Amino acid sequence: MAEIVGGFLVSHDPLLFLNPRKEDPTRALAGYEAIRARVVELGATAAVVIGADHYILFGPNCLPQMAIGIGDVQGPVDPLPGVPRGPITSHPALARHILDVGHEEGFDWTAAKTMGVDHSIGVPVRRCLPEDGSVATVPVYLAAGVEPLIRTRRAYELGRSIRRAVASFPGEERVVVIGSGGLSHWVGLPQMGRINREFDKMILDAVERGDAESLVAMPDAYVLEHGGNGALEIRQLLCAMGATQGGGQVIAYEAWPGGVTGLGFAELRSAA
Amino acid sequence: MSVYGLEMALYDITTKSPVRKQFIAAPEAAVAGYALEADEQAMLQELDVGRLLDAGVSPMLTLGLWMCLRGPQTLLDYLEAVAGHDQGRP
Repeated sequence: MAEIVGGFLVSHDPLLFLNPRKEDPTRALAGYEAIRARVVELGATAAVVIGADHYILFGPNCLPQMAIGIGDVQGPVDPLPGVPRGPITSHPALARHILDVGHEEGFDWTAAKTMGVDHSIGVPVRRCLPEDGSVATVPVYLAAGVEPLIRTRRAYELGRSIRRAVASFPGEERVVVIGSGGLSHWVGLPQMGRINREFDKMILDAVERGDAESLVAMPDAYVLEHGGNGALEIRQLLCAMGATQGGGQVIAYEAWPGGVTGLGFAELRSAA
Repeated sequence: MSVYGLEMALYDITTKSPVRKQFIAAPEAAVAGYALEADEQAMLQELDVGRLLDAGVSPMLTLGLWMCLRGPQTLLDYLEAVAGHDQGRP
């Protein structure tokens, strides 16, 4: 049967690639390479990549709480230097199974029969997965950037549903789950550029402990004050933690001066 | 006053190339199709991202609008434009 063999947390700061301040991004980019190497070592054949829309995919006329791409996938739709665009190898059968299991369990997934992903999924796909398309992507979007937001507990429980779905998928897939986003950043607000290292450490410490409950219980108002509106993306981390159910280990952390995000990279262990 | 109407206009300008081209070429005509009051239309036409934030528009959209129209290398100019403002609640 299919299984989740591991997970990862990554940041997706577009400024790493746009680099308007002309800072050296080498160290910051190394986190993606480290994850790509681990994905290969784990023998992964599929990746559930969890991102947040930035009012790029979904407009005011329809804002899904949770969306999954069950057909062809392409992107990222927002161009970034050094991030290839175009078709992304997808896994419609696994995606549809995750959706079906979720619907049975009461998770009202929105289905995208075709999906153009933005940088929150495009960056990890292009930077953390092998370039040859040997690891197929299942894209998942949570409402973490645009209100109304998915509740943190719901995001975590959705991850647990994904885990159950993978376990019941009739195949031999080795699946990694990537939560994209989550550390301190203020998107589009005057504080943009501020990075709160203490907040970021608190988040990463909880990830290493496998302590999802403390993140679930963190009020949005606290996150907004100390981590910014971008840190509301802890929802993606929680979903990945729900899917893996183990602790984790930080791979790298950078408060890169050329960007606007605390850049965190971590590996999540999948519980036995 | 319609924050959601403003967000719809910003979303269309930032994600739909024909709307963006029309907005650049003829901003008055482009925004006339939305249920916006005169001062809201002015905020858009003047790319007044500070006032748009104050009105409650999502910062994802104000930043996206700026980047689409001024280019991704102008982030520092954006930050200058929104200094002293904050997002209101729609």
